[in-house]
Amino acid sequence: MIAGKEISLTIDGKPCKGALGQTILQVAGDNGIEIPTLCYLKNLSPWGGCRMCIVEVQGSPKVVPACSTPATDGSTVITNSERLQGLRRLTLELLFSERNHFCPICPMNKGDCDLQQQAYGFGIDSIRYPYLYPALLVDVSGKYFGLDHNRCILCTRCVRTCDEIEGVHTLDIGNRGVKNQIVVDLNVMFGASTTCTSCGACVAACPTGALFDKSAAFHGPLSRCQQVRTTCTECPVGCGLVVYTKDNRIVDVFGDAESTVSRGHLCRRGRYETWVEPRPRILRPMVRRDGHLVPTSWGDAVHTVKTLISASNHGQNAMLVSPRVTNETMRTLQKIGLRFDHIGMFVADKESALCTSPEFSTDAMKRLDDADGMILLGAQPSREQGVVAAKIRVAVRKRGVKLVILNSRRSDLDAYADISAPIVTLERKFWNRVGEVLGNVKRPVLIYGAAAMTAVGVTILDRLTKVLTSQCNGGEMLAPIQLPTSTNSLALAAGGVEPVEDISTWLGVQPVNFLYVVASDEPDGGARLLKEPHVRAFLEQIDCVVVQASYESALTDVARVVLPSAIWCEKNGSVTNFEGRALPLRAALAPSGEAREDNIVLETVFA
Amino acid sequence: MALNVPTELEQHIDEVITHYPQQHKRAAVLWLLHLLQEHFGHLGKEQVEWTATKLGLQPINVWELITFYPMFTAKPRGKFHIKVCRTLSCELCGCGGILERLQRKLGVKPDENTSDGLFTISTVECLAACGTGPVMMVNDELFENLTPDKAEAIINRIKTTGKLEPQPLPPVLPAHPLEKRVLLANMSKPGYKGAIEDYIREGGYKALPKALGMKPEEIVAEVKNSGVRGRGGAGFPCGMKWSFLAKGAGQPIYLVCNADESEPGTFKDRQLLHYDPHQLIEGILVSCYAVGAHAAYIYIRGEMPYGAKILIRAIEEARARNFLGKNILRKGFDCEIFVHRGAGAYICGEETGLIESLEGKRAYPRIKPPFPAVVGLFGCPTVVNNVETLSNIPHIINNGAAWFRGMGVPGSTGTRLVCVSGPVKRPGYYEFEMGKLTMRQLIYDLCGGLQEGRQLKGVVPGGSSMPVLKADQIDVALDFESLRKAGTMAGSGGVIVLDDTVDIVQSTLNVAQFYAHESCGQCTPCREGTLWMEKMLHRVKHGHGRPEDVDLLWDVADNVDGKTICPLGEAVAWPVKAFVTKYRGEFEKACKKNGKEATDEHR
Repeated sequence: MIAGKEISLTIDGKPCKGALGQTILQVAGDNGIEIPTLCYLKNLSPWGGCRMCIVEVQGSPKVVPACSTPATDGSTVITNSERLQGLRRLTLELLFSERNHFCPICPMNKGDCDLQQQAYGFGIDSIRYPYLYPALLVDVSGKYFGLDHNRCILCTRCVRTCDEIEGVHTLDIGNRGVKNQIVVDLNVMFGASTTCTSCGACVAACPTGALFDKSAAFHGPLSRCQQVRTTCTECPVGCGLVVYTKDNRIVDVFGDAESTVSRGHLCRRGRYETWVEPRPRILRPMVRRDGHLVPTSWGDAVHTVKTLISASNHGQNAMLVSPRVTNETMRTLQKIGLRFDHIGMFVADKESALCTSPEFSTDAMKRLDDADGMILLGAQPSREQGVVAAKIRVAVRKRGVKLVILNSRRSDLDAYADISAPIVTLERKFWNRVGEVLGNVKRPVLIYGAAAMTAVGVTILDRLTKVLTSQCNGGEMLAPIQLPTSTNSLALAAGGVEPVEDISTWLGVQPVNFLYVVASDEPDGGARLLKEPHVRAFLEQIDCVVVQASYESALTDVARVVLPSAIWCEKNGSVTNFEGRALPLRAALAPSGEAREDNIVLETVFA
Repeated sequence: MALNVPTELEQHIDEVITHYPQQHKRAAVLWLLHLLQEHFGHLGKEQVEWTATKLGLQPINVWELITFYPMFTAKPRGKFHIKVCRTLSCELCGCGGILERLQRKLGVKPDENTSDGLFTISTVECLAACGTGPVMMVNDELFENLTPDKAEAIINRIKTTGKLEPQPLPPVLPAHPLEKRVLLANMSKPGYKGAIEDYIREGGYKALPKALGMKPEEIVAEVKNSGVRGRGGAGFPCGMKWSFLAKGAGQPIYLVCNADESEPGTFKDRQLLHYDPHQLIEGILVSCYAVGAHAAYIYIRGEMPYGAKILIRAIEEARARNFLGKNILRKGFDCEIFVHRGAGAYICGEETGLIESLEGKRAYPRIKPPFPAVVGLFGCPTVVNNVETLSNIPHIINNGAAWFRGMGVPGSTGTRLVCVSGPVKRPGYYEFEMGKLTMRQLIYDLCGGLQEGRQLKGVVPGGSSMPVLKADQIDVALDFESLRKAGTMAGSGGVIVLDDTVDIVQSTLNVAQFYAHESCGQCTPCREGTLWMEKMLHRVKHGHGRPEDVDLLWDVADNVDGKTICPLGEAVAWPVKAFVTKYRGEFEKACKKNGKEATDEHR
């Protein structure tokens, strides 16, 4: 048997071509024949339990599930006989009788529920079996989403997603038979889960209203929302997003299955934090008068800034930008750069070392899929690049990949690691253990982040590279993956923007009397700049600070002028992810209030 | 909070873990849970987390098992856990009265603990001792042929003495002249205790050296020629099953003995396991050699703790004589046999459900293909055979395929163990040449006919999942083909006799309850359909049925039939369809009885 060899079969009388190894469902789908499904979800292992996709294969007395039955050369398949339609109808009737599926009060009513759509498709308006009316829990203790067992059809799509995509296995099925029920951890409420990462992938996978996003519930059917495909700018991974909007507000945000980077998966930050967390927006330009920031018009604000710049001493002005600004903003910066003596971006701790020689890790996500050994050095994907963390978990749990972690802070990934150690000077004994663990590894990959950029870290990095090169006997060490912390820092650095960790050091050499900060949509409004008291004191000494930001923060307290900038879902343009892919940003909403996109503001101010 | 596991127990646990390949050590989880529950009385969060750490699992992987396998409990039970069988054969013999008496006596409802912490009563599904029903187990001890008075006396005795006395195994039933005992031959001999000395004295362990002198393919050919068919239920030819094994893939091959006897009405493997374990072990060793396996697992149902102990002892006896282990009989063949205990799930009788369970997971039957012969236990080629099938192998090797074929009829060669339960004079197990006796002879000659004053109403021929035969259909010969022609199947050999006092609606309800309880819940039609049938039968039985319910019941059954991943769908659909079709009048009468509207209680 050669997988991939072309096969021919007849489905519903239509000659179809497929490849050996494909299921009947896949071949049918590729040939434009739709078979109803419920528990099937692309990219997950087949479950085969719902029995909606049953088909007849000539010569087989039993009906078989198309989702998990391999298509065979020369076979004849029927997908829509009267018998099959009757069986599917019965399956739906049984599902409706099992739990409390009251559509009118379900957030997925009117088009978002696979079960309801299937029932419409089969013309089911009543069922022959009395309802069981079980009394089941509605668990809304979770921060972002709820679990209503009454609407669950036990398709296990959430369980498989949690296990096979996010890799945490928070969800499973408890009990047996008709008492089967989705459980969280050891049967706790969602809010009390110690393993859930709130990635929300289970909600995206749920075919009914059993798992629902709290912020999206009852804001109208998604099927009637506008959809915009854009890119998440929370971290340098650059996952694809589909933003659902209605009346110029976000109804929900899901991963984009078409994204080559993330294939539809997201982490909590991209899925929820950007739009569910309350963040006070700056909606109008403001200038400081008599010690108070007062709203004003764009014209007045721009005029004020221009006046302040011309008043500033040449050689004493600087611009500091967030590393999340777009490539388009970077080009604007390059154009206006001559007006400033210093242009820097405020990167994360130790990240500047990664930016001094910016290297993109081409096809890094694919390398993570191919590797059979992973070494994570000075990076915290669980906190910072959630989708990468998911890949690491799945690699260890599903493919038995060896994992060595060297980090100064602990994370949930340590539980999956063969070795986990702090970044300190390590002894021979330790290296022997690393050698043992990676003994049979053929395709190791080294993933390192900003925290590796210390003297000890760099020594370890060198040593690891040597160990790995000598270890993967007969194999090939995959190119290392550099995992920065900030969204667009590598592209900005490559474009000549200087990475800055401590402003007072950066500007300390010579006095500055004008500072323009583009905080863009930094979730904290750029307040992290003021984390150190001496930096705050430093900023307070500067005559004039202009802040261009989306969210209110302590930074605006020191500003003479505040300009409102657009947030992620209001931006157009592109960012370059850590693999070096330029990924598009498409505005899903018109900017709130009088906010404008960063590059437009800059072009107006510096025109 | 750290769990205080005594060193001795932990050593035992560590030893059990070595029975499984290092990278599949989660397979030891059911054993661990049994051991921890024996010690701690229940499996709470600490036990779950301790087990998870021990086996490198996530706690949820352990928790999901505790809720799937009913033998495990997350909350403490009484010191003595009384498990009263409620399944068909025991119901026919009056188990209801026992449960009622015990509840009254102890003042608790099922699954409640008595205030002194001594007792918990539960109803359980078939304990595979149907011929001696009604039965109950108290902890690991089985009490048979109960009456309410006897059950009460047992409780009184435990209360007075504060302990549970070990129950001896009942004596082996004497052979009837119409029987031909091959598998039961040894144990029927006076003084035969099943120890290795007994087995060798009666000519045991001769097949093993003979087989080791043959080529494996010669043994496969011999077994093929013998025509022996699987005795577990489906009757698939054993030799053919062996020849499907995907060899030469560089993976180990496993043999799994299915000793999860749990089809209601079936208690034949119990005899083979308890009275003649070496016959089975020799069969397994020869079969392993034939198929190229170096490790075999005996999956024994959790409710047979004695059987597990007997097997473990027998394996050690065999090892001491080098019939098992390294370089067996200096012929260069290595083979290990391990005992694996189940924990109360009928679905583990299905071979892929069994494999999942053996791997330490919920016993969800797998989607086929791939078949176990290609991807089975631990992802390796695996053959799963029933206890009775494997027990036949030494006899085939000793006496030859021709001898085996000389017994029985073409297509159904050899002898068959059948076990009869229900209101007959001599219930029990019988061995005879297949096709040489009719159901009538079995009931009226071997079993001595029905109890005084009773008339035959029907008989279930092969475990409760097989379609019933009416009283006028019993002149059928007892072999695979004749029973198939009669519209039923030989199944697992569990014959359940129904007399004229039996309420067919109630019996159908009992059967439906069993399958609803045992459905794993994977497939919609089975998960919902089984419960549906149970609910509908419940309302028909209690006088709330509607005339259209009879057809609806048949319809639901028909829609489960053949529509599920595993044959549990058929196992419930066939008997329900047969009962409804053959005794339609009784269902119609029950539906008409008083025409009460269905109330919430009976929905």
